[in-house]
Amino acid sequence: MAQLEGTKRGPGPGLDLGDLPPRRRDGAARARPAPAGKRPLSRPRCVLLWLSLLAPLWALSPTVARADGPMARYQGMHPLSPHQGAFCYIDAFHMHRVPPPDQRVYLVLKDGTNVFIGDPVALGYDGPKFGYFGPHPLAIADAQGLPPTFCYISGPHYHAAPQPPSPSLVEKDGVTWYLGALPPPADPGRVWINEVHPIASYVPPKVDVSMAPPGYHPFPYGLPATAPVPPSPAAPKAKPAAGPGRAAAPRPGQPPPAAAPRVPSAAGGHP
Amino acid sequence: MTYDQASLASAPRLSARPLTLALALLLPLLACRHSHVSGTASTDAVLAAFKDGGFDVTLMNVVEPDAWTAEHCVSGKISELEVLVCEFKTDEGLAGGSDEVRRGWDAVNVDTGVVLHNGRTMLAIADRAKHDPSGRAIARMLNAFRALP
Repeated sequence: MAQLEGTKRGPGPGLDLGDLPPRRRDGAARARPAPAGKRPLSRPRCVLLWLSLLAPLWALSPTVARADGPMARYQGMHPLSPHQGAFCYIDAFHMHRVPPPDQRVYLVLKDGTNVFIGDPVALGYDGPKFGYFGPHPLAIADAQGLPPTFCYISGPHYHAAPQPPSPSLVEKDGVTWYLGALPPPADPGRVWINEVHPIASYVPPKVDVSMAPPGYHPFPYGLPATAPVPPSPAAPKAKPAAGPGRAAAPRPGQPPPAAAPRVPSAAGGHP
Repeated sequence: MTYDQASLASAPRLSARPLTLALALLLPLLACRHSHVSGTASTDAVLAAFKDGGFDVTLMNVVEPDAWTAEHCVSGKISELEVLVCEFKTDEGLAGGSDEVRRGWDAVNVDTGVVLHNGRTMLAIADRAKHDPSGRAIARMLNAFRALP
């Protein structure tokens, strides 16, 4: 840009009289200069002229017009890359230069906006929190065009906001349980949320399925929507999940563990 | 005719010329001056809310609003964040101004950008040097902005 400014402001350094053609130094030339259009240009002026002509093209080139390309769109609070404890507390639509590093904890709206749907506390959030156990309907504020959404986190976890009152949501000992119908079949990608590792300092709600309110039934993973909801007599005893605090979720192409309803553990299930 | 009567009678004639001259000079200026929009939160109210929230708003200044198709804008830095507050007359203008702000972020190095509306007042905040990586200061400003009537 400095070159452009120099062009606009006139001759820059080095354009002294010594650079002008000799005929410009005689008195006649000074007294009666030739028309600008017919006067031959000196080499530096010619270079500047070409630079000024090329400047618009240079300015329109992608590397200049877009510093880093379109920014990533986010709705609401979310963990910051690389999901090691830093958190963004902007609870409105906003944009970041950095896209989400892990899509397992995001829904993507039609316009490309990323909506965080995981356990915020497990990824560094330290604001007000509300405990949940197992999958449940998930109301997401200000996310237009989003169909009814479920949280598929299998065990105890948190969200930053309470869910709207519903007969199928029962709170017991500070933890909300979903007693409603089976959630829609989970997109395989959605249950991967259970494979996301929490930060080291994360402590999930101290609750397990044995503390469930009457009528609660653990939700199996990967069942089709038409599958019967397994009866919910005595809830089985919680057992440690596989891996670091969680069990592996089915991946595309793998048979869903429909025959064995998954029992979330007290430690597992968080993102 | 007393002095008073004479002065009263002549006063309009005497002051008419300077008045006309003043109007002729000032009317174009008044026509160019962008005014606040009624029915939406004013930029003054927004800055007052920020000030009440503990932010230093002394670096905010009135700026030319035409770039955002707005009627009145203030811009400057608050907590090292670039802040723009604009009042719009129409919803179309508001949408256009918001789009213009977002397009601008694609072309410069902005780490975080927020655009929020309250009525037909727009608040845009850009963090260009990670001064507020967690967005806590931005969130406080957004809450103060949302709370405006």
